[in-house]
Amino acid sequence: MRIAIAFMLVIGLVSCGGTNPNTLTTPTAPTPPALKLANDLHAFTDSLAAVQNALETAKVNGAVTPSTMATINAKFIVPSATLVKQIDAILRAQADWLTAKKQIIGAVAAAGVANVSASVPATAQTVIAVSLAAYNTIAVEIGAPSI
Amino acid sequence: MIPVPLALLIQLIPEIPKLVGDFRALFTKYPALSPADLMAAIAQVSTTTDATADAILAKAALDAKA
Repeated sequence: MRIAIAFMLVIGLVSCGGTNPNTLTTPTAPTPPALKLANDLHAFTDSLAAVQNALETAKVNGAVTPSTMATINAKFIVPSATLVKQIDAILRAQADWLTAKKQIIGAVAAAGVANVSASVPATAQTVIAVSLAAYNTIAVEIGAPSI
Repeated sequence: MIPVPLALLIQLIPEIPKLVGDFRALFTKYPALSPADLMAAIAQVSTTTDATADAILAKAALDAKA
């Protein structure tokens, strides 16, 4: 009986290995943190552009007041886009990730984007939610405070 | 009747290839990306990012004037 069970186990193992060749291939190399940040920064910038367009439409439709739009532009979109350019410059100039990370954390703290929740009306928070999520991905990556 | 431990083992069989793959990943030495290649890859992404950020800032400036 034990021999039969052992035989069945061996057959099972061999057959599964043969039917799933893709799971046994060598895994791909992990993305270096600086490149991962560059990609996430790209996603954040795209989300900012989408939020800006959505706000423009909302302003035309009367869903968002011009003053709210101005506040979001001044407190979130402009500082964020400026921060993106600063981080981009750091990533392009600094090959050493640990040094780059320190400079990026300094730039993030100076930009003050994390304080946006206090200055943007609650109704507009939903419009910028996508960008906030993208920002938080970057904040977690570098160890900065999330929004 | 199949004893419970054997039944559990049989249920685990489909997971074995994945577990083997995860185990191999722990001991796989990846070819390191050279600093030059890494910087080139970053530059490729950041050029587009920078252009989008510029467009956002320009649009915001226009909106502030309106």
